Amino acid sequence: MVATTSLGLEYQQGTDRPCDAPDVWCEFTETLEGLLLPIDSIAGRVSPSIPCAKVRRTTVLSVNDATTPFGAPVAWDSVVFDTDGMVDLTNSQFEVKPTRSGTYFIQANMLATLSAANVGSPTLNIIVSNFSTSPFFSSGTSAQWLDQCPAIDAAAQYYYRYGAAHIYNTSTFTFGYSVFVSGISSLILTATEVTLSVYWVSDVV
Amino acid sequence: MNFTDILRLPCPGENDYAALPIYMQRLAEDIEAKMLAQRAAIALETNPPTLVQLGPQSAIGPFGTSSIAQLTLQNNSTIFSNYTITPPGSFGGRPQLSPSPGNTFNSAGVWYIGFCIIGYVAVGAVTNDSNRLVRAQVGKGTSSGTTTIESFGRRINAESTIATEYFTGQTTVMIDNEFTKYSVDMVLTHANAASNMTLPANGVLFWCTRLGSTENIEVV
Repeated sequence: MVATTSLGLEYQQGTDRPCDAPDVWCEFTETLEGLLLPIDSIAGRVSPSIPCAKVRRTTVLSVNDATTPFGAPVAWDSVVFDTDGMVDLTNSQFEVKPTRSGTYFIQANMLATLSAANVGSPTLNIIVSNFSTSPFFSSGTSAQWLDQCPAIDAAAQYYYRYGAAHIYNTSTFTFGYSVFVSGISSLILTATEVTLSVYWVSDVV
Repeated sequence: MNFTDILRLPCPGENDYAALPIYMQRLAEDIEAKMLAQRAAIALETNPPTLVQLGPQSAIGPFGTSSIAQLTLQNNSTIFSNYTITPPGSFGGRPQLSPSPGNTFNSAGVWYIGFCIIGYVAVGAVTNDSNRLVRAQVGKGTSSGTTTIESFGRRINAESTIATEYFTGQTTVMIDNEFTKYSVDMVLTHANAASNMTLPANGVLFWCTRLGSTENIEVV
């Protein structure tokens, strides 16, 4: 009797007639093809994408430290890429919110000038918290990362940037990643470009 | 000889008894080829194109406030790379930090790139609060010139008592299917009027790695 493996691949046994071999062989190859095609499909899904998104603001953002001493959140203009539905500018202009839990690398850049020379340091902040409260970075439980750079040359363009790894849990986190910026000493910080990149690195096991 | 409909795996017909060993060999080779292709597709995900360079091997400068130092790292600066660029261009297919198009990226997708300047040094006196700027731009060549896709870097002002500065920068960049038109232009400038500046040998670390495509994730 022709036998099969657990996956249904046919093979002959010693008591089977040799003249039946072609039929058994063809059943074998048909079954094998059925097994290989789903692996092709899965490999095709695995290879191209990880959850990653990048948002950009090129509309000039002016932050007056006298009126907004804690800074201002960055409302994003455009989505550079988003492979996993992490950005919804219609419902929230501020967030990149992961839909898959895991370890993420987050990275922000800002190109900005200060209205006058100053030895103080404007700040670029990345946060995971509610930016609708004020000051929105006051929560001790919120993750926050920042970069500062003294803008000593008035009206010169300075780069601000920060990158960090963070574990994001979609079942417990209410807010995604957002950025806010602040000036110094009642001067106006003018940001001409701000970007935020978020990409998935690994599961947390 | 018969074949399956899609993958064209061979199986014998009723008149093929004498050729069974040959057909078995062909089937085995076909199965092996299919499985190797699947393994290669999965390996691409687990071993993404990555380049790490440390160089240049000779110091840059000293140069004054009116000069711009252009950074290019060549083959002898490569610490690690696991991909080649096509067409090979002027570097024999080896990727590198280069302001010339087509020498850094080998495929479309999202790339993570960054740099670290390991000591930007004043050779003499330091002008207090004078600036140093490191700027990297990912550009794409077009018929009307080069379009800046991403610009990142660091500008700092040095205290008079400090003669060496360190810089870092990183970003992500989306490279489209015309990846041979992309370049990475990294330059140093400064305003230290009191003396010239130099970048020591092996003073810049540059890296890039492909994170994945920009296609939406499918739910399996």
